[in-house]
Amino acid sequence: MNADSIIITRDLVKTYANASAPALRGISLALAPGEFVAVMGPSGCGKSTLLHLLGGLDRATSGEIHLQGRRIDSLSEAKLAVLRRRQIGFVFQFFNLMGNLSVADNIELPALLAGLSPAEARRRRESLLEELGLTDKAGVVPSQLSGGQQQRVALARALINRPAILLADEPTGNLDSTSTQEVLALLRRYHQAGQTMLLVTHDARVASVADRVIYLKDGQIRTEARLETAHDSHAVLSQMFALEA
Amino acid sequence: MRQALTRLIRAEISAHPFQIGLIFVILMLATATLTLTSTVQQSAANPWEQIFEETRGPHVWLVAENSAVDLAAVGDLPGVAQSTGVIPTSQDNPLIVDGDQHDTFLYAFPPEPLPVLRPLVVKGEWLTAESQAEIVMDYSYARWIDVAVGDTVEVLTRDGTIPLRVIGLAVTSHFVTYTARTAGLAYILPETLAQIEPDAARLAQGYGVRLEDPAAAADFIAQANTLTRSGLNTALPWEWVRDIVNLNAQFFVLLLGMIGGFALVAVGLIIANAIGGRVVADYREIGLMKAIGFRPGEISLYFLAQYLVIGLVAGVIGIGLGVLITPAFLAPTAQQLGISPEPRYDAASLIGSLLLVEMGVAFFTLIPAWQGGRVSTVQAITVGYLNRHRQPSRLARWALNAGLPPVVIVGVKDVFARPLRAVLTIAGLVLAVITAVIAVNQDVTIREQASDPMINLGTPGEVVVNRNFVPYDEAAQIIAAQPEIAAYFEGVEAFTLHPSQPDTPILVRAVGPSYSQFDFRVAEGESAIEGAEAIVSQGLLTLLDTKLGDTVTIPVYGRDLEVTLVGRNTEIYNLGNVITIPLDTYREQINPDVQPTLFTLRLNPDTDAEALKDALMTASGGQFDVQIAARVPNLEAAQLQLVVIGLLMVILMITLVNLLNTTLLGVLERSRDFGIQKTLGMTPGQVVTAVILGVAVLGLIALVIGIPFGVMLFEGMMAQIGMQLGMGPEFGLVDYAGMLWLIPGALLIVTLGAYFPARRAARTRVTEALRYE
Repeated sequence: MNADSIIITRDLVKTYANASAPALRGISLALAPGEFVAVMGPSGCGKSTLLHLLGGLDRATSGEIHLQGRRIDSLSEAKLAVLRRRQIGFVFQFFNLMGNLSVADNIELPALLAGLSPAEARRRRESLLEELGLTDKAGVVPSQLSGGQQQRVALARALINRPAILLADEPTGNLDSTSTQEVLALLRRYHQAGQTMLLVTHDARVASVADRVIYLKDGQIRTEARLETAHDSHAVLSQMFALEA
Repeated sequence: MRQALTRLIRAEISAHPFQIGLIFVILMLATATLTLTSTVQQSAANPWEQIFEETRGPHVWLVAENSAVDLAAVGDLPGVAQSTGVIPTSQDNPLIVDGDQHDTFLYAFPPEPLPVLRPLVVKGEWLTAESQAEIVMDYSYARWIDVAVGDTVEVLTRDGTIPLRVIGLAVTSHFVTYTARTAGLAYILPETLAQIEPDAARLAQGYGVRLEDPAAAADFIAQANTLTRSGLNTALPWEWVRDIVNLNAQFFVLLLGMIGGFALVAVGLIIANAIGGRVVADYREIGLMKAIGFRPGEISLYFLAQYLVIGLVAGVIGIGLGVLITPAFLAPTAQQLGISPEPRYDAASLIGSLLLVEMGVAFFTLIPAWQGGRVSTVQAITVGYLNRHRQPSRLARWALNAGLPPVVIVGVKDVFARPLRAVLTIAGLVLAVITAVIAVNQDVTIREQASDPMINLGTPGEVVVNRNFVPYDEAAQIIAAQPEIAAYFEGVEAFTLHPSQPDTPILVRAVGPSYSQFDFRVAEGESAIEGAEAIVSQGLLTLLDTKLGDTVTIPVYGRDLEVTLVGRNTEIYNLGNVITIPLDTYREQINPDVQPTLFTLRLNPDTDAEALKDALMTASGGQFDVQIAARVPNLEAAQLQLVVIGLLMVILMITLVNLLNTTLLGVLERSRDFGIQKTLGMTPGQVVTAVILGVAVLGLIALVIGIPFGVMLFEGMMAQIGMQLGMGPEFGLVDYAGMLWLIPGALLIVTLGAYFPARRAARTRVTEALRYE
């Protein structure tokens, strides 16, 4: 594992209370700066748990997590919150936008939380909405947008603080195929611009946009595949199907 | 079906013990408040009535200051059932206790009980045939001047003083409770009175009658006045005495009624909020119930039955609680009278309190229960309750534009997310604020107005001297010789009755020319009077149905006083049945030879009133009655304040529980929102602050609405009480500085109410909160 990695985990174990078996059993991985990693696996394999631990939303039972060289698994809840607002962006399957804030306010809020001036927050929001083609939707509430539009807003919100890493949990799981393609194109675009990303998905087509695919099963990394040049979803799919069998 | 519903209700209660517990507490306090207010209202007049019966109180009490009046003759008038016979009375021999003189009516009573008016001994014993050197004092009088059984008091006579040992304290119903506004009462044997005032011609006469028809008291007084050729100076019908004694109780009942009304409305709002919120919180369960075959009507019944059962149990305990605390609320009036409080419980009103709460529960449960029955099964079990917002929060936008911190933006964004709940919460808080406004201002009103010597005692100076037996010229010289006196005026006072209102004594106050240097609190019209002009108080205007500018004729000692009313002043002395005229006018129209008996003094700054009193007493050989009109603390008022504060506490407790419950519901409904906030990087402390801020906005709105509305209501209420007291509508005083305390007070309540739910919000587990849509 490279010391320059954005994120490093060592022997990450997570056992939920009342659970018969650990959800994660000693995960060690590293993400290089600008890398785009997809985590795949069947339901209950621990994908979302891994993402929650990396984002500081839940605590590991044992093991270490380092973000940009700083160990974060032992930080207090308040310090983790501050870390999240500055260095981590989240995108969820169900968008998780604040229903009674306008699109503009939803995007600006994390910037203000991170200490940006209102003018800077506004400037960044306008720029992001323009990039995402949502400038005319700034004043509406999320429920007036389509699923694809809501996910684009969520993406803008996750990126406004230019986080060290973007964590995406099934970002296309609730979208139709057109919207899925739009969101994937955007992820690819931001990745190409240098954004480090970790994406959790069931969908091999989604995973195919990543640089590397990690396959989890029963809380362990079963295999990793680097998608070198042609993002060959067929190859990934067949590889994963073989593992699931 | 019944069994299924019972199981579900039991499961619901054990699944949400805290929230159901809060609703239980709210309903219990509501019933307790209703029980308390209804019982106290019914029992408020009870203590006096109890004493009236036990003392065989007279329906009419007559006083003739002139011994020549044949008062015994009134006993032969038609309608008289029994009488006291003539009771010789001294009104001119004050008691001296610890060097202070106190105006006293000394009644000559026999040792054996009279057929009418048997003072009820509450401490010590009644007079015996050997009580020549003993005295029984009125309980309220003795309590006020701090005299106990076994003490010795002195009676001032023309020839010095006579010591008498206090052997008993008694309560009576023929005269008002002592509050330093009137003379005190004491009972001695006829031979003791003869020793004090050997000249029977100088004594006044008292006479009490019980009538066959108590309602005919006013007619009887009119006949008695005619029979005695207007020789009566005072005629007190029993209703008047009752009303005066119960004046505080009436004030109290009015306040209590208003606060009880607020409590009822607040409780209605709270029930609506709490139960409506629970139905929303149970949304997913409703879907499951429908999925397993419950019909919409059965689901409505489930909610209705659940809260009616909770209401019933809480209501029964609430009634018990109300019954337990009621005596403490009745104690002030009862203590004044020297008896123990006896609440008058009425089964119908107790059951009525319970029914009222149950009706409120049913009413406020029906709508959400009906809505609950109509929930879409699929939506309920998949998506759950969705509060789809059609417009962004304007408050959040405003906060953002104003450059306020993100925690404020997040805090205020959901304030009106549920408009009905927000309005109900604000309305409940507004009622609490109004109650607090009334409590704060009644406090300052009672402290300032009711203890102001001018308003309370009709004394615009700092010291009042009654010259007693000292000749006028000599008294005037003594007064004039005191360098500490900055100004004074002389005067006389006389009680009289107007033929149109023979059952209400009117005080005629004649004042010397220097009166104009004193503040008579003239609220309307002229403050200067000359010739046939007079200043009156509101009580007299109401009594005689007259107004400023009118000319009135009032008989005084058999002659007519005819004056034009030019000013209205504010005083509650003699319930405002007071007319102030120039002394010269009194001499011209009533008695050319009258010599002033009272000297009202204003002192130089930094003068020690006590030292001046000593000097005056020495100079007059102990004959002067010198009253320092310091602000008299009003004991009854102080007790009343305790009651109002107690009630305020009950309402604040209900408000607090309501806030706790409403905030908790909001927190439970918005757990997903808190998950998002934490994901975006809000610290637990920021989440707590945001939740509290959201509730604080509601509190702030309630203050903005509640304070002006409360002030308006208070002024209206006090104007009404001021009119009843005979002082006029200026009675209420608004303490704006005192009300500033409402702001931190409201913030404290809001913080207390919102803190625990906010902590819960801060502890939201993101991974669980964001798991489902």
